[in-house]
Amino acid sequence: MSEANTPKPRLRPEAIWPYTELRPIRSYFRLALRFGPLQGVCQVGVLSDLTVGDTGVLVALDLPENVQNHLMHMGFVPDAEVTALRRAPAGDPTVYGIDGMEIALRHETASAIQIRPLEIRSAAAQPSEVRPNVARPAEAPVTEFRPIEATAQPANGSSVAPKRGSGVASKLVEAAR
Amino acid sequence: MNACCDTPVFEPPAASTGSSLRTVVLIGPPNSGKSTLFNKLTGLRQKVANYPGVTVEQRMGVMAGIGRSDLTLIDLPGIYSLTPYSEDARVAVNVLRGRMPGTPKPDAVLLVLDSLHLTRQLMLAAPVLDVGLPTLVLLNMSDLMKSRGGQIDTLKLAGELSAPVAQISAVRGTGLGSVSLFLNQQNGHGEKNKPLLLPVLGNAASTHTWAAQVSRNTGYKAPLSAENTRRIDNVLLHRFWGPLLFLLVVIGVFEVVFALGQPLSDGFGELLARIGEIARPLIPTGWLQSLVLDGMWKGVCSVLVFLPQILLLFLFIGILEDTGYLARAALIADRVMRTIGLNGKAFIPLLSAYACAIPAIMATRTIENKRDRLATILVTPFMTCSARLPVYLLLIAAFIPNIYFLHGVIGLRTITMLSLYVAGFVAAFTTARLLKSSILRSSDTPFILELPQYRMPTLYSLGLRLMDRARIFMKTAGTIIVAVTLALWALAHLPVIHTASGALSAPQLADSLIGRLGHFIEPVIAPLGFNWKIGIGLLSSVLAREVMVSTMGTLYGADPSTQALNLQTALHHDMTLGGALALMIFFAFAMQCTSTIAVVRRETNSWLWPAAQFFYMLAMAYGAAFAVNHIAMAIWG
Repeated sequence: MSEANTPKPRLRPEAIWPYTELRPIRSYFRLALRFGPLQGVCQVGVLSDLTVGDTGVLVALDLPENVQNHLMHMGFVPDAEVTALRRAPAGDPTVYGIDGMEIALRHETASAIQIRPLEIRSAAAQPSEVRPNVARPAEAPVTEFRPIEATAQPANGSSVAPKRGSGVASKLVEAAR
Repeated sequence: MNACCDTPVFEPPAASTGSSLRTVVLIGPPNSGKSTLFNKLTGLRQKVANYPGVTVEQRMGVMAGIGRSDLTLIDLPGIYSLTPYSEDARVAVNVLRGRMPGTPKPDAVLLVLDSLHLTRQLMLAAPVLDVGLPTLVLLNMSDLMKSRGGQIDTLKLAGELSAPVAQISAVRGTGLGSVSLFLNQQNGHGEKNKPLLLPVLGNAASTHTWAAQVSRNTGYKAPLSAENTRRIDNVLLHRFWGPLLFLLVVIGVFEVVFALGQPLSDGFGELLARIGEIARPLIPTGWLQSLVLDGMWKGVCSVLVFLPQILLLFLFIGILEDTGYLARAALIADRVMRTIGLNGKAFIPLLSAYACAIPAIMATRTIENKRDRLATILVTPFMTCSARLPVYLLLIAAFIPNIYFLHGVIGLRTITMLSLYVAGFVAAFTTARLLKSSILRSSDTPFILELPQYRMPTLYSLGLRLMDRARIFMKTAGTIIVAVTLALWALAHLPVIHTASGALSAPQLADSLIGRLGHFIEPVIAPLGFNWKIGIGLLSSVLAREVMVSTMGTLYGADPSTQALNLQTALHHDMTLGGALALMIFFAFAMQCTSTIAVVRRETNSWLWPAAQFFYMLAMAYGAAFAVNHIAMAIWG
């Protein structure tokens, strides 16, 4: 679980390039997203891409009306923080933590829920650094759910260089500035 | 409903209630403890367990538990919002709005919220308060919240909601005084509440923002999330250990039902037999004694004997339901359920059908998709319910030798039992697959399941369950089984014939009415290895499966050649091993239960489905029994 101590939202290239038959192009995108010129371009991923232990911020749901309404009343509203807690033994339904509740969703449902990476937490710890142009509104709800790694987080403040794995997240913060 | 109501002034609907308050309704999110509170307030015993969706219909009771027998309390299924998503939620919303035929319009609302997750639970408060009925907000499980370091300012919350708020613990029964206080206040002239700022209703995002703001303003500090639940899940939902433990638990349950339950049942049977012998001198000899002791008592005893084993099974199911494991089982099973076109939610009714198919069919109301729900209803009777247990136990004890394998770890009898359960399960799955790939094909509905936190089951609630189940079982034994036995006994002793000496006497069993009926149907069942006595048993078991056992008890009791033997030995007169195996398979597949047929008729609202289901299952049972009998004959001659 040591990996879980750093928030590194992993965004799969499939999210923006879903055509599996064009593998070379896909792998180009994968490398480009990870290390190359496209680093930080992909701002939005989907919930199913979240690795277990990671937390993302919900952006939008793209589901049939009634399902969407139901999920939103269970707490899946924009700006809510969702943590992937564990996968079922067979690997498919994944248990997500939201608002302190544990809710299981299948891959196809989770892949219709868009998320963005969790912003570096220190922004909350040091209010002076809150940037006005961040998508999250000032009146954002304070959810009671804190991911497991939140306690270990403050040490990894903005001044500390993020680790290799969180490259996308740091790029995002840069882009937001 | 008005779409935007920023400042609704809500007051008790003066016109309808006047000064009298009659109906109070309990509403809240799933698994927030409404039914537990209902039981406390009414003194009734509504089923409670630890998973969302236990209550699937409205239940009414008078509030005798707090001395208000003039008031009706309605318990409702849990809802997330007033926009219903599944059938059970639709029931709740209709009752709340007073649109449910046969259910009185509510005059006041008790909104039950789980204070461990108040922020999200408050989302329901907005639309419920908007309905405009006098509402008392009850923060349930407040004892747990406090012990885990959470806190809330209830006065501020009451101010924010303009509704009285009380902290309670439904399990412990603390804080219930506030409910009577609230109801007494409502009895007088309805006081006008202050206007309330509500979010735009119907918009989940704004409701969530509102709920978050309210919980922040009231200084709500969420309790630490239960780390125990995560830790337990690390094992129970482990990629490798999870399914393995699940299997071990299932095998263990059956081992215990045999290893521990059999001696218990034997002792119980001896006790019942002794009671019969004590009563023998009290009844005048002659036909009355024969009717009461050899007919009725023997029939009832032959079924009652299995009570200890059935209670053991129920104890295990109760533990699974009360701890919160059932929802995890659904999660594990989702992958398998997907291959047959259903989702993991359908697994909860299927699992609870191990106890009884009737509540299981009711529980399918939590399945959102209509076609999925119908498919689940249609396959549920294949699951091995506890009424089959007496038949299996009797036949296994009579025909399967008590051999143990693997140094006594697993017995042949347990294996036989398990394979019967597996047979039912496989039949259910295959049928569901067939249905879902043909007439009930539908697009996948998303699987959305809330996992409750683990809780320790209380001895009290487990005890109540067992007592209720024992009562139901005794009631069946006391009514249906007594009636069937009486009818059988009469049929077995008619027509009265004149013997050579001129005295009246009962006919030979084979010449009696029942014998003639049996011989009439014998050609149909002979290929399965059953003789006419078994045929009579099969006919009577359409009422309820366990009647089979009592029928055999009565028939052997009426036959002088088997009168002195116990049921297991007597069965050897009529059956080969092949016939016994065929009979067990027949019971595994056939839908012999009038109550199940009635509940399917009610839930599907048509006679077509129960009829189709009955004949499909009958055909399958007949075919399988035929095959088993002939294979067994080929092997053992």
